Amino acid sequence: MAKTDVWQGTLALMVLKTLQAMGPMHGYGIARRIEQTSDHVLSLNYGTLYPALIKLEQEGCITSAWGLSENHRKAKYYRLTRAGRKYLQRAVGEWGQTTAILARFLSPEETST
Amino acid sequence: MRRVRAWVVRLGGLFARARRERDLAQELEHHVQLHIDENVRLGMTPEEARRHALVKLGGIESVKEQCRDLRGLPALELLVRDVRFALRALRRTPGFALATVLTLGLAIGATVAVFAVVERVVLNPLPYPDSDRVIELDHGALGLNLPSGVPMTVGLYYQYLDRARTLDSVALYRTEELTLTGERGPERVRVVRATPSLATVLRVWPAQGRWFTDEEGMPGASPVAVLSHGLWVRRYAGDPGILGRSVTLSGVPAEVVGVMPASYAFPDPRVDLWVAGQVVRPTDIGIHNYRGVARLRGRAAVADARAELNALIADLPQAYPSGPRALRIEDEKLISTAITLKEATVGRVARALWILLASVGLVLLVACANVTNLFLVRAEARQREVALRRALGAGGPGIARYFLSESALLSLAGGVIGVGLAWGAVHLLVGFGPANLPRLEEVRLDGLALAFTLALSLVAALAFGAIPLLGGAPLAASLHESGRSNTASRGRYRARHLLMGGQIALALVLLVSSGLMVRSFQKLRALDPGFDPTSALTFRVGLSQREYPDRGAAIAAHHAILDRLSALPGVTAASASTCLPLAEEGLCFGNTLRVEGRDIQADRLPPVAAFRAVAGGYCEAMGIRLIRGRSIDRSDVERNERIVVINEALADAFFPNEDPIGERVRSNAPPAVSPAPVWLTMACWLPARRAARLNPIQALRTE
Repeated sequence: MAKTDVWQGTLALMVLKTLQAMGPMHGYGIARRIEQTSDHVLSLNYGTLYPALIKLEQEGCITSAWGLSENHRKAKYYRLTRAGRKYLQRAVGEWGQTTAILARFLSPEETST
Repeated sequence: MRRVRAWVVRLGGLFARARRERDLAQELEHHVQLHIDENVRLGMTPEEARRHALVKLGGIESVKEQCRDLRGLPALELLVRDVRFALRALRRTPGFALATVLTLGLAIGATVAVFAVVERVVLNPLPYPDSDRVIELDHGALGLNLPSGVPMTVGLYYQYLDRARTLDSVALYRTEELTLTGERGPERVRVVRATPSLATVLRVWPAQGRWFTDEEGMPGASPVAVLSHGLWVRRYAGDPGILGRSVTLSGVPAEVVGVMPASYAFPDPRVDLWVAGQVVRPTDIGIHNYRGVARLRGRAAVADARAELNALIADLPQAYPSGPRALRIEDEKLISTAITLKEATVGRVARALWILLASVGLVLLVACANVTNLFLVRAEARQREVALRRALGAGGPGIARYFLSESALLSLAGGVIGVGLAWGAVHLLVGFGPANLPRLEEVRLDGLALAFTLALSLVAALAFGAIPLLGGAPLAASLHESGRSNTASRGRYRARHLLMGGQIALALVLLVSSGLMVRSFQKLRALDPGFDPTSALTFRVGLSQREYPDRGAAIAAHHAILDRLSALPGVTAASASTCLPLAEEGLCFGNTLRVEGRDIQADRLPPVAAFRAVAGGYCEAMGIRLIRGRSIDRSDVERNERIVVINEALADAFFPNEDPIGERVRSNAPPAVSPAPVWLTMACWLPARRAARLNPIQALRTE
């Protein structure tokens, strides 16, 4: 199976979910975590991550602060905000609904019989 | 919500850019370093690890570029850059910039000032709810050759009140001058005597206290007054305890029951207070001594009201069969010429103001044409610069933006100067404008006027900014050193000539019309009014009936005043009249005139003349030249001589080719003069209006 590209708009959701699950992380960590979570099926272009982070920060879903990374370097850590948590909750709900509907449309014939 | 926040943050992103840039660089560097470390741990060579990390990231610079676009607002930044360029270019040509800004500033200032006046005075003159539905009950008397301007009578009022279906409410009012006395000394005040229904017609009630009750409009009710906001503030220092206090108007105490709101100025801004007019149902139609206003009912139009009122007027002889008036209703040929109150108030002024607005608009056009020409010349000189920009990759839109931001900058600066000028002009206008212009004192530069300025500036900017963009020279030719003089700017030349021609044409129109206006004004000034207005001072005085009950007392008081005035140093002559030449209507009464020994022709209306009573020495004090005979002196008044002076127009009308001196006339005017023995003819008087064409003077009598 070929590696799948990240769909438009879903990257933000993945970032938020990752931060929710793992707590504060730096950009590289987020990128690696997303790849791991997808079992390396997703091919994430790391370059697209940073604009997404900026957008999320501008929207107030995440905040950033400088901290020390595991290799003792100065790194920018991103953290989920309350607004971000709320947004994530709503987005997950909507996403679940959408996929459920799509699944019903796209599933094999036998479910309808 | 998140979107809004993002935009705000992006707007903030315009600042502290250097720090953000540094942070991003550091963050990306850190990212790459971590990736390299991990790759090395997985067994890659350092070079391989680095290349892999960079490929996975997609290039540091490209990521930075994407992030940068997200941070600020690219469109705004572009605008800021254009404006900065434009500023720099303009600073290099300060003369051009100054000329343009001043030209535009003057034109925009004039336009905005006039716009502010038009907006308030013409578009919105009456501060009453649904003011479009209020009409002035004007009449014409065709039998008297008066097409309009004939006011109401009490008889007409009751006829309309009882029977008009197109009118919701009707009110009578009359402006008087009375003397207000009290702690702060006597003062002549303008008083409107109105029926209590006036508030119902205009739908405006006092800001404090109450309006008149219906009972207070009945005869015998104790007098009540409502103050204007202006009088309340001026004379009573805005005293909150004014209600219930008593004011003395020409000796008659009246209780203050209310204070009107500041915006209320009916019928004009000079009115100081309103008193309840007491009218009773009359037995005849009465005399035309009240004006009338009414509110239209439902969807009735002014034309409907006129038609109905004309029918009611035709029915007047049945309503009032026995009229002791000199004029029979049928002979007067009364017609309704009701017009909206707005039309009646600003009708004449409105046209003048629209013309003024149109002419300042023309001035603005001339200014724009002028500036466009300057721009064209400048564009000519800058062809090489433009060509260079184009050669370096600037597209058409980019160059257009560059030029337009220059013109927008100039015209906005002009707009700012214009607003300043307009502010000053509006203050001058309010200070010196005619007092009877409705709501003039409320004229100010409000949001609408400012928005108008902005729109004007931007339209102007587009107008003269866009024209130089049309038809540029070919790139190569412009770039070529010698390619400047002979290249394809023929289109531009034509545009310049066209503009110049248009500019001159417009300027000529303005010049000719303003020249005509100045000429008319000069002629008006040069017109001989029949008296000498230079160094003549006038004032008004009123004696109360209570303190001066008879003619002797009043004449003695007037003479005492005149004596003291004459004794003042610098006063060469002093006299008195009930009505000054060219004075406002209403104070000079008119009535029919009969010459002794001449029959009244039954089929013709008796002629009407205006009268005024004067003190001795009136002609001398006014500088009126006598044609024949003698003037009235003080001894005439003291001996109660019944003499009259007539003007040239009256002499021509009544005594063509005859000597009027010695003839006797009489009138059934309120000061019922019995036949007057001495006749004098005097210089022609400027007719104030058609009815006042015949203008005799008579000896001073008690008021």
